Amino acid sequence: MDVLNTVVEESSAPYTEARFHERNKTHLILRKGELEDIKCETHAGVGIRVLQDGTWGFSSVNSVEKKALKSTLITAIKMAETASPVKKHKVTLQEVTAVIGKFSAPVKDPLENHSLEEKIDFCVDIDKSVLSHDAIKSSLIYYEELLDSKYIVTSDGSQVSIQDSKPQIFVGAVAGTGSDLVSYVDAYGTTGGWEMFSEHPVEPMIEKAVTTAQNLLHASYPKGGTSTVILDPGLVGLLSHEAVGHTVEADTVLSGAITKDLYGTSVASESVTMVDAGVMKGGGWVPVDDEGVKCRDVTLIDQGILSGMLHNRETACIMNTEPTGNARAWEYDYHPLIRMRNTYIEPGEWSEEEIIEETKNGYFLKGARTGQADVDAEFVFQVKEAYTIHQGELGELLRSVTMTGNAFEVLQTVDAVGKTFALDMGFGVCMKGQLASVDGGGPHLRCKLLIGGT
Amino acid sequence: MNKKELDRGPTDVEDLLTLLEDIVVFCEHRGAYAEAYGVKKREIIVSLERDDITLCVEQSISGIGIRTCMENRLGFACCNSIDTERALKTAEKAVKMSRKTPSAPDNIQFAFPRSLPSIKGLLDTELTGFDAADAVHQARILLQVTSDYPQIRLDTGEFFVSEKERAICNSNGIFAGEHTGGLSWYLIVLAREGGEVGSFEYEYGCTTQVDERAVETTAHTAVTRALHNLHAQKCQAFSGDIILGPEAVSTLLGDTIAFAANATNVHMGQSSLSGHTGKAIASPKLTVRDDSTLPYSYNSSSFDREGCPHQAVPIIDDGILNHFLHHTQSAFREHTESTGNATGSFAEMPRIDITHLIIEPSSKSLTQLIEETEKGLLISRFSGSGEDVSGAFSGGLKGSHVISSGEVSHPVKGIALRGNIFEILPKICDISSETAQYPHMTLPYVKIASMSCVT
Repeated sequence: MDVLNTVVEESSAPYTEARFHERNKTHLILRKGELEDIKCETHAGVGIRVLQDGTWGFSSVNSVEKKALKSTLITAIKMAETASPVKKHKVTLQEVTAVIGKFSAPVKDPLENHSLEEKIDFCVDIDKSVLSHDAIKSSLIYYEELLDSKYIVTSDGSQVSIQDSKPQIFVGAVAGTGSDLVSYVDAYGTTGGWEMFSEHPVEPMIEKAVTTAQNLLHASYPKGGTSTVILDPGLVGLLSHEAVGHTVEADTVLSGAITKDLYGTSVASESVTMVDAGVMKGGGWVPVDDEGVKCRDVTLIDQGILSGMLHNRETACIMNTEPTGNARAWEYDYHPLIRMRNTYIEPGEWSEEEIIEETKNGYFLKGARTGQADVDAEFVFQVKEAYTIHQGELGELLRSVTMTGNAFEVLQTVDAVGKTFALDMGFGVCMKGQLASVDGGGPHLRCKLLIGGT
Repeated sequence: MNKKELDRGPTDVEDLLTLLEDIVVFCEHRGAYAEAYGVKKREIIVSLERDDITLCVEQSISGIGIRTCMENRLGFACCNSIDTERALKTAEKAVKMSRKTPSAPDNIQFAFPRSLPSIKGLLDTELTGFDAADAVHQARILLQVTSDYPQIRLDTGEFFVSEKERAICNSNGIFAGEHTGGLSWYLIVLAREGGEVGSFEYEYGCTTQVDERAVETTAHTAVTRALHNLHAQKCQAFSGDIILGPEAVSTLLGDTIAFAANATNVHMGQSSLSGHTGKAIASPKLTVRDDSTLPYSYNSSSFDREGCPHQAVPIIDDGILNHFLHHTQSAFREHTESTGNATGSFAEMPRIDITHLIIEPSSKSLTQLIEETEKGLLISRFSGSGEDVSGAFSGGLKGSHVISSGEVSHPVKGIALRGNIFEILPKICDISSETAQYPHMTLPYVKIASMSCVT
């Protein structure tokens, strides 16, 4: 921290931020009984960002030596000065309260206390278990852990140390023959330690992957059309993150996202309240962002009214509001961007059973496979499992089901919100030019949307 | 290390090679076979957002990835440094890992030296002097072109300069290095008029030759397309021919073929093309190859992530599935040679992927394709999702225009397409002569007969 302080103090730029980030990453992939990939990676260095002449400049170096840091600072300033003559709208930053402190992820059983052999054996056992079923043709087991140490120093007085720990597991099974193949994956990740596997055991994940892959092989395709659906927490998380969350990132709003003219208006049923939170246990745990701003919860939709936006210091200043602590950089050699953290819908009063029983006809959709959404909130998500509902009872499993719609139109149709809450975006990684660990979830929701198949 | 069979390649990266050689010897002294891959690169990035410059970055990135094998047990460790002390610590980690991992079912294979192709135009000497001011100037051109049109908004864009030294050494005598570089740029623009916003357009360009940067052309193409997307009408369900633009081809066909042609996916039972070699899987109009040996091409280089020579790999010839993409391990398993398709950064173990996927263009222009279409859709972009394993996909068609009696009539919106790529491949009825570049792909327009789209 001292060397970062020195560099920031000696900077001639009006604003300087120096961020040391060491990431120790272990991952391993097993496919069909083979260790296909394994690695231990150390990625460490310092990223320096300056605001000079109202323009951002950035550079990074894989060292903490004072000489190297000074040289990197000079490059960052030079970059800002070079770009400044072309910059039309000069950047100013919102004033913030400096944060000084040490923050550690909630870890009960540190991942470092478990050997690589133990992690390999753990994954080998999962793989064997998946492949022990005759109908399973192939498997994919992926384990990843990110152990981060960060020090952030800004010229506005923030001095922050963060220790983070994020394990993730991915259990996949492939069933079928020839070109008629069906895959099913169950994934889970959070902020924490090895205790994740006692709090969220892998055995049900194995059972789920194996059983569902086999069942999907014999499942029929949906008819398609607008239907009443019940979304599980995983899909609620994906809808909240992908189709709504990106449209309320302030940089996206300024670029002309559909939300630009919707603030203060009703965009969802009154039963919907959506939040983005950093300081909660989940894959998107962030106590202080990479601009040294303390993270605060942001209510994005308050009882149906579009109300909140995710900010960094620059967009907060443009819109004359408070920064929200959403400026995040993936690794030391990336600059901070506005990113989500844990994005979810707050629980209501219905039990899962009540929602199903009171649904005449429709579908129960479970688990997010992949998805895409545009800044106009139009989305297409592939669903892992879809069950028909007839007269309040679950029916047959369907395959290759997609859900389509405009997020805000869909949220207007919500008429039942479950009371059981879960963050369950599985392998929660978001891509926006650079990666970010995120999470999402909520309760079960009943709404109307367009069901499609292939 | 067997130095008798050295093929150094077109290298001026002696320092990096010396370090990698030391790492391999270090691992061998500890009883492991080893492969060390190193990279040193300089990059300049100028980012654009909301019609303005947002950030300028210059940084140097370096690193080493070390793969080891001991009694058929695999290890891999990497670090973002080419400092000798850190590199040797990383090597120690890889060797230790090799003592802990389970023995592989097949013999673990590292590449053996083979003659590397000599490819012209991998590095323009002028690139070395291309600095941040030059990059900002190019970014400014992107801004200027788009600002000439009051309806156009530049959403995001980037101008990127990269100069890279890469080298590889292994215990089998692979010893190769290369110095490459290039410029790339992209922009995403959308048009607004009368409170209406058209579907956005993405355009990308790249070159290894400083004098051949064509940012202005790229910007004009994006602007023209975005303007054409204005005033789109709601579309009813549609049946007829569709012409997929290169961007839609990359998402629908390119990514799916890349996954299914991957020999590891074939071996693992996760490719729908498994067992189809020599069989017709597509229309005779379709020829696909992977080729990163083209001179003066941004995607070209002489060797892959394992040090094997890059080559032109015929994946689909006139609709017949010809060849899968291999790295050394998959080739050993199938008793064939690596096709030079080991890819990945220094922070990744070599894995199979495309290097430069090319769908062969025809001699027929896009205009002719359109003129020969009685009832159809011209589609710029596919926004949806797909399953790599099965080929099933579903999503919206963006930047779509109705073709009626051989002419493009008007833009439409709210239309979706779903199906299975492997069922669509035989229905390809024509391909254009024009192509567009995408990261790791060069693609034409592709016409598909008798498709049904839904709203």
